[in-house]
Amino acid sequence: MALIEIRNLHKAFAGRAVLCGVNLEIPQGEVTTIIGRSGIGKSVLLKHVIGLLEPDSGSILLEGRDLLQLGRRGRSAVKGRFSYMFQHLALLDSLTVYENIALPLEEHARRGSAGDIRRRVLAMAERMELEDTLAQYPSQLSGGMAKRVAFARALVTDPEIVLFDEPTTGLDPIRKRMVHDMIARHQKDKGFTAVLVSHDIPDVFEVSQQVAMLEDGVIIAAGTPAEIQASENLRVQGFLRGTEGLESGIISV
Amino acid sequence: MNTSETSPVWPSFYGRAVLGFVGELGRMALFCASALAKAVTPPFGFRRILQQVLFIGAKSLSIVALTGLFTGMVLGIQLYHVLIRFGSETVLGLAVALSLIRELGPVLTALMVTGRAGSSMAAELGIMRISEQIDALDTMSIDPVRYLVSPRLVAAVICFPLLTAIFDVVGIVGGYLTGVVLLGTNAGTYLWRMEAGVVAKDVYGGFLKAVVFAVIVCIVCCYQGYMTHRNRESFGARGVSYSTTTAVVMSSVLILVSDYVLTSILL
Repeated sequence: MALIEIRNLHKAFAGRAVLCGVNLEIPQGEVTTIIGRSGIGKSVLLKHVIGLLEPDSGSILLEGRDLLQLGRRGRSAVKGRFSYMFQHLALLDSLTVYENIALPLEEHARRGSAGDIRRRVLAMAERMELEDTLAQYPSQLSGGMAKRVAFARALVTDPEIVLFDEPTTGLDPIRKRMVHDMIARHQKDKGFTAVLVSHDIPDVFEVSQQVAMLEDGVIIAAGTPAEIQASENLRVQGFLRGTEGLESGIISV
Repeated sequence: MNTSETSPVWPSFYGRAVLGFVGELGRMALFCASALAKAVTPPFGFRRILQQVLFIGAKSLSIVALTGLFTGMVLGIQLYHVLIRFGSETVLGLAVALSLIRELGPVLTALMVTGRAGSSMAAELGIMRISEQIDALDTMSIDPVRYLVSPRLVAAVICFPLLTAIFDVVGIVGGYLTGVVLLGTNAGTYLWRMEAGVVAKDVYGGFLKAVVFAVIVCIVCCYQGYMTHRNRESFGARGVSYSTTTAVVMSSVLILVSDYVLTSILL
């Protein structure tokens, strides 16, 4: 059974349809990657899952329960099981690196005492090689370091489900590889369910157990990386080869 | 002919404007109710409240004291020259004190804090909104209103009356400097008239106004910053600038309007 099930999701902004009936099942304990062209609505889809956006119609089920039908308290409880890594990181820029990582723990006292919080933050910082930056502010960090801080903040609560919105945007190929390795390693260690939005082909095939392609507001293909790579869908093949849109004239320079 | 062709447009234009205004007012009222409710229910976030007391209160102290001093000095000179025409310069102390305690203290303190701290609240929350920091709080199950707005509201309610009291005292000293030291009114008369004429109701009234202004300034400035993304006229950095300007202008106008209403009720 899928952990998260997205059913017939529709969303339009100012009359422009972005999601036109998205259907997708996200299995538990695996990495699902959503691929597709820039601006096609991948991040919009992810923001619906975490509850930052409300759909015009459709439903999102978590273990069979419709998230959109939950009350405020129910939603808050469900959100506690999620973590979200923003494309532009969204670190709180008036807090230090330490305070940023500790924030989700400190704001939920049930997640540990002060000593316990400190221990967990330091352990996470050590895993992310951030020990020397704990007193610095996000604006004082390099892009790669800031990504690691966002990554640490997303994982420090040991969430069941982690949503990554284009975590490798703006990174060089080596650092992209590092981020993908980091996701794969931590996912294996902790066993969380990950949903990754990316257009890093073919790198994401190595970290994902399932890949889904979003195009024209719907999922046009979903399957294992091997299945997607072997897909006979011309649009999938065009995207994988980097020629989609150019051939059909959808993209104009 | 032209009039009949264009006339249907005007009702819809005004209708939309009125609906927009009422809707905005409703959203602000809900925002205010939410912030107030979260300010009085645990968890309280004492550390964040203290940080805001430092920012809104302690760091506004010098500018409030300076404004109070010169306001009192100007009042001393102006009132002396008016009162002496009627041979009533002996009530100078009372006139200065009542002007400051009832009106100028709460109003000018609120206006100064709006310019210093209110604009900063709107800008900070606006930047947090456009850089998705508020969304990030939401995804971490941290209530952004409880985390960002309620501590500011509590701190403002604590600080405004205290700053107003300081403004009043420093203003009275300023009036003394010009009225007594510079223009030669009798010192004993200045102080005695003030002591005899000012009653507790005047002081409480001034503090009540300060508390109301604190809520207005904090809610308007936080709301404008928090809702920066809803601006239809400007986006990004310009949106934050627009929110900040709107926050300061709206707070200032509401302070003056509510001052009139409160004065009418209190007197």
